[in-house]
Amino acid sequence: MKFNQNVFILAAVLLAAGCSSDTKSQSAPAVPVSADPANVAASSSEKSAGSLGSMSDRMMPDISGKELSLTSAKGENGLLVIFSCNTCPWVQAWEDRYLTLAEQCREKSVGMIAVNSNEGSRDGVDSMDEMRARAAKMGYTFPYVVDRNSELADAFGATRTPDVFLLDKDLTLVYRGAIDDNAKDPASVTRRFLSEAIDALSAGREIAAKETKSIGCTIKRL
Amino acid sequence: MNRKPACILLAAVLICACSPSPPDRPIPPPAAPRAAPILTDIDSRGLASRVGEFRGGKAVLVNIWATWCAPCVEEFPDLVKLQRDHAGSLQVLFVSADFDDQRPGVVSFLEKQGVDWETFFKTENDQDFIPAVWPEWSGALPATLLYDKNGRVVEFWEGAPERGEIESAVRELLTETWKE
Repeated sequence: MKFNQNVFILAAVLLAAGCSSDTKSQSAPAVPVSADPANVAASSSEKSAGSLGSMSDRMMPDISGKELSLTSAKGENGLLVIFSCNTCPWVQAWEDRYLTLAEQCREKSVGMIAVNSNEGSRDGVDSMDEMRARAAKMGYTFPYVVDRNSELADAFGATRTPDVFLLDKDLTLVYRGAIDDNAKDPASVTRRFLSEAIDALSAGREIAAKETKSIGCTIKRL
Repeated sequence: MNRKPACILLAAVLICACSPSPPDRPIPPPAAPRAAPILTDIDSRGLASRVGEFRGGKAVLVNIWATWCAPCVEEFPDLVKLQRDHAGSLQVLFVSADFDDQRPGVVSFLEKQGVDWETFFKTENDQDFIPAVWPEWSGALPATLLYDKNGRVVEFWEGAPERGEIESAVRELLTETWKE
């Protein structure tokens, strides 16, 4: 009998160990609530409208073989900086509007520069050769530069591609965020945020929407 | 004294107790076909409501992803495993932010990943959806929020964190939950 008693004690211990859960039993009343953001501090690193542009004299290699800075790319009324890349589907969805924006910038004396900060894929899809190929395929009419070590992206707090920053003639940020409100279907766009901001900037008017958001690919930092 | 039944019982107990499956993970019948992924349209209000349904019961991990997002795809299996490992205490809510014409690809991906619980497809425009989900989210993918069982956000990641970071945060949160 002693053997049987020991077996049952062992069995009980094993059962207790084997069946313990990583959670306590909890009932889940289905009470709809909104997310409560109050207990997480704001931590966005993106520059806000009104901030000075950063690293304006830093030279960056362009697909043309020249080196450019934000200052050298700036137009009489300001500069549009688009953090972009070669393969992101959101870039590709919006990319047809790059050329329209370049034309608008030219008409409004605003410079335009596309910046590739994907240092993490520089040996592959975001190499200088691939950047040249992309620009040629899509008919870019504006500079497309390499941001070594994603330093410009870090300085601007750019998080994704595409991520746009519009600077005035003093290289102060006046608009950041989305190109418009429909990446996939240009015909369904209802708000052309960036285009409206460029018009307002060049006309000396207040920009209505200074900051907007859009989904995009994470910038591939090292 | 007959020792045979006791030995059989001990063997059975040992087999049960030493099963490699996590204790709160439902074990499906071996021959049961896996349910097809469910993809439900959702906006930010609907998502908040879904998160709220688990209030008082489970922690919730919301992961906003896309099939074209390499870091999303890379971390996805780890999040599926998190759900499997903590089915009784955590609910993972996947929200696809793919373009509308990518729905078949989303379903196919979910099938390959073995996701057999309801997941979601973002239908709201970015300008309304992003700030409503989390004010500090700029829009980069993946975006992941960890809610405690009271529905409060305790962690937020924009972009994929170091591998294991989300799992550590979940384990820490669930450990704290047990102490309550």
